[in-house]
Amino acid sequence: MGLARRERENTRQLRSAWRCGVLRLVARNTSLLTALASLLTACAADQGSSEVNNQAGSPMASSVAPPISTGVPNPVEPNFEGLACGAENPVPAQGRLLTRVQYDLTVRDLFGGLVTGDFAARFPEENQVLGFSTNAEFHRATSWLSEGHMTAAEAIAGQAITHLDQLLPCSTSAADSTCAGGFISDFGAKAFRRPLTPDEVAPFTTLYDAASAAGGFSSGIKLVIEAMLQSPQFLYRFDFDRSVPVTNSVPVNNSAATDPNLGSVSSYRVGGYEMASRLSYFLWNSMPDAELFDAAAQGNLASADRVRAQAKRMLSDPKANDGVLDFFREWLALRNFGSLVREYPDAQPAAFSQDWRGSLELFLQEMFWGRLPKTADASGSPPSSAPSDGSQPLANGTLSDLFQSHVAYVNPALAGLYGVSLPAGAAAQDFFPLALDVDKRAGLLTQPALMALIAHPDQTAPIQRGVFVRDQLLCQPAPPPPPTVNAVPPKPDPSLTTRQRFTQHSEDGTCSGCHALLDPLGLPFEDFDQLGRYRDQENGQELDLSGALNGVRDTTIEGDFDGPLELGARLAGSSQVQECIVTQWYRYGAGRVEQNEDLCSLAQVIANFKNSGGNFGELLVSLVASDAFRYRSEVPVAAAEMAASDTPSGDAQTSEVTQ
Amino acid sequence: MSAHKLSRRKLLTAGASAGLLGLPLFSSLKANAGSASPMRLILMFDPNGTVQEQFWPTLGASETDFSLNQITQPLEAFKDRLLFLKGLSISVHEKGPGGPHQKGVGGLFTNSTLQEGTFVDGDGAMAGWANGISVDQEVAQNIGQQSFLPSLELGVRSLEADVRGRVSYAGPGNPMPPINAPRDAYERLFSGISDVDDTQRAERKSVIEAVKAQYATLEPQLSAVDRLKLEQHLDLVRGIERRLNIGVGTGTCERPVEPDSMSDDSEDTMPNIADLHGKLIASAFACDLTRVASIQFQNARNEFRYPWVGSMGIGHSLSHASDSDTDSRAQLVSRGAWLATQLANLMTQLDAIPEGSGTVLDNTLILWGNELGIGNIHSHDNVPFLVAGGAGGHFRMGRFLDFGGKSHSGLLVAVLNAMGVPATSFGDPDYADPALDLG
Repeated sequence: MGLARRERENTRQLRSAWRCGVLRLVARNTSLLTALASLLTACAADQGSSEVNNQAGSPMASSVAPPISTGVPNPVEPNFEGLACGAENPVPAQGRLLTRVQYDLTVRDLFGGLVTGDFAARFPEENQVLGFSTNAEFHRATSWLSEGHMTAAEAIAGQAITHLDQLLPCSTSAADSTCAGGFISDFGAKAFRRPLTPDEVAPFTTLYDAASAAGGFSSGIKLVIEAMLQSPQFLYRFDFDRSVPVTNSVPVNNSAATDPNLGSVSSYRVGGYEMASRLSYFLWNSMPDAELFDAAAQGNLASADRVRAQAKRMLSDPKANDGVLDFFREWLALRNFGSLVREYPDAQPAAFSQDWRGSLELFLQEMFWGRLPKTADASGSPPSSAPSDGSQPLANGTLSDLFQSHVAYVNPALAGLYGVSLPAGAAAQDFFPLALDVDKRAGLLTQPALMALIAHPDQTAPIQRGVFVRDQLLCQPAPPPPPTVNAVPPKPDPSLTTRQRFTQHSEDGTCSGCHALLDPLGLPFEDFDQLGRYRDQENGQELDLSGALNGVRDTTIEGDFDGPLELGARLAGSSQVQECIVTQWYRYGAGRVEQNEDLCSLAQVIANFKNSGGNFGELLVSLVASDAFRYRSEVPVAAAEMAASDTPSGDAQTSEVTQ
Repeated sequence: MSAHKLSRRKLLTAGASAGLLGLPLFSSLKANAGSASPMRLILMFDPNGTVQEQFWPTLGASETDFSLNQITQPLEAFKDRLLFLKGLSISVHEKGPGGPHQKGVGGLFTNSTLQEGTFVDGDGAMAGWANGISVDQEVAQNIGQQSFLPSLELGVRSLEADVRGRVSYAGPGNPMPPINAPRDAYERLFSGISDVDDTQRAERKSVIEAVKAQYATLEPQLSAVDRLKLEQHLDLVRGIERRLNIGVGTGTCERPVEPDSMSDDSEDTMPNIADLHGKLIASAFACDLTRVASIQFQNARNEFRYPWVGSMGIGHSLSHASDSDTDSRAQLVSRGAWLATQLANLMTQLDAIPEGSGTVLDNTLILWGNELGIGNIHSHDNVPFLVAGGAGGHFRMGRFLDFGGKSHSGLLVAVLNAMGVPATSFGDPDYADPALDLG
């Protein structure tokens, strides 16, 4: 009980240390980002010479993910002194289970579009870490998911064998065991995203032999497909190519290296096929194509330059939009459109969720790809097609566009809501680019769909709008209210503006600390109601759109401002926003929250992004060319087993019962 | 082992003759032949604390003399099968990382601390999953092997995919996600694996053999972390294999009508989903497809309205309303009463299934809990614990007890013991009380 008492005392001390105005939320990440700025100059970016050009730094008090059954430690406050840039000190890689989106896109590409369906729609939702479903540690299999893998594989294989003529390496008239052997090798290499070993081929051959003897050739192929799609080599991306160990490397920044319980850590350059999958799942959210497989086979994914070149090629493929959209959906929590309820006295009960979602996604795609807005002020230009028409330019969009573009997309439903006229006969699903009034709207912050997304059902949500800017755009979250505060938003009052109703926050002494960080960021959005409609007054009163950016790291954007347009203009050029969006993309792509070992690569990506003028294409290309993307480490089995605890899974108890 | 197939024809018969959406006809029970009736366990969870004075009954002259207040009024018909347990705290929240909602949700049925991690709670604290098995899974690992699914986890708009959204754990850091769509739950119970003929079963087994061989080939090549991940996944594959072998239903148990596809994230469908889930649990018990279930209602962080009870406030914010905010408090009470109604409906369904000389409800122990006692101060004391059902006679029901501030761990041990698991403590050793005496 002594321990418990100590813990309780600690808890009490922590509680009493809590102060409303203190920026403590995700303190670790905040300080990581703070440190990044100083790193940018310290990092002599020489990513190409990693294998031989390591420099040792001093050991850090860092932390590393232990075996999965014991949970991830919350990494300690990092110490940046002695961080050696150019030396790869990668975080131990961890097998990554396909997400639902990745599963369906992979099936699409694996069968060349012959098999169609939302097969993963009934898989359980991935666990989310800081908004992202791609976290390698937390996206895990469950017995429900395993059943889904089985029934999906059966449905897919059932469809596939109706296209055998296009899937087999032989004519269907020559369908025999030789042909089946060729299919196992060829199709297997696509499904497993690398050539199969003889040990991997053998069980499939056995399966084919038995099944074809009982039910004929196609039955044999069907079961082989089912088995491949349930094999871990298909469901996961595991890295275990150890052919290029990192020479002269003492991974000093990796605490696993110095933890006596874990022993030393080995680092490797990510192997060719593994790199092909890293690239394809990051940029396409799906499996590699033939050219990537060829590059892997020929060793052409070894250097940062080659990786850059591949990434540029991949970004010119329409599939890149799948990856970009997936990131935006997760970063901005677009899943929340699914259950949106919005009401407004003079509008029909709102059922615009999917319209808003479509509108915002088109906007984001255009901002990323940098296509010139084909604006037509409702005079009848053709509906925009998402940039997937086969002639994708390399991503030319910039962060500045994201915050300052004057385009929004509307379909007939939204046109009605916002009082815009569209050409007669426009179909419900057709979205038209609309040139926005430059005095009223600009960029992401004023997109009608975003304003509707971050709102309450019956009123705007100025606090949540401020929280959004801090969390998602500045990566500098403000603390939440203490539990005893009445967090119910003040009820709408026809005699008051929202600002007037919310003034209590800034006047109440216990609240003013935090709300000084939030209210002045959210209240300037009051010219947009909870349906995202523009308004110049509320309840007959003129709107006060004054605001302020307080307590930010980028002091060049600090201070008072008036309205969302001025805020957007500041964010568009802010180094803090640049750092934040790179960090968000990094978390998404690396499948982990950044750790000390990531900092140098992260700093280099940020530097390149800034130097490119905030070009999104450069962000992604730099990210895949970074050391963190191209190297990995692992903890030796024996050491890790010592530290592991025995954890049963949902069905662990069942193995003895199995017959 | 041969298993009886639930045929399509039976499905149609059941739907037509019962004429009730999801309410099956039960003519016999598989597990009931010649032995004592089996015990069943249901955990029920809703978040953000309660309105204390309307949850707890008003006590009369003795512990058996009490009158229900507004929230639990819908359970009046089952008053003699309720056991109110006041004065229990999720004391384990005092220890380890995480925020109040995270620790409460994670500790509620595990009595465990949280692991370190990167999930963020409302107060900015960070944590990972709970570091221990939950009581339902402990039971499932002891008695669940006798049924098709060791346990069934259901959710009603319980969509937060992190530590605040998981009450059931197969082990440390190993949460069981709830199924929110009734159709998905139906598939797991009645069609996905269970509805196969001998040919398909044989095919599946041969496929699984090939898959298991791939695991064996791959594992030695992987890093330590990945080996563990792979082994856990292989256990899941073995679980499927076991379910293929065990089959379902040997009697004339009829399955319910397949629920329609519907959004699992909408205020329009919430009441219907709650109803369908209750019926699926009843069907699963009747067919002895499982003996352990949990049902969780939403998560701590939600902005949900309950328009069907006239509550248009937004979820989590409501729970932080001041005690003087009478309108918000009234809304919380009506939401609580709706939840109690769902519990009453579930009890009614179970009470309609004959078993031995009584009903399935007699042999069911339902434990309703919350991660907080009071939302607007994030208190983990006086958590609204209510045991319902006959509990197999292991607990003396029809009482209102006040323990005056004990760790709730003793309640979890008592539940384990009632379910036939011979535990003397459960969860974190610093808060490991012996079983509460509820007999």
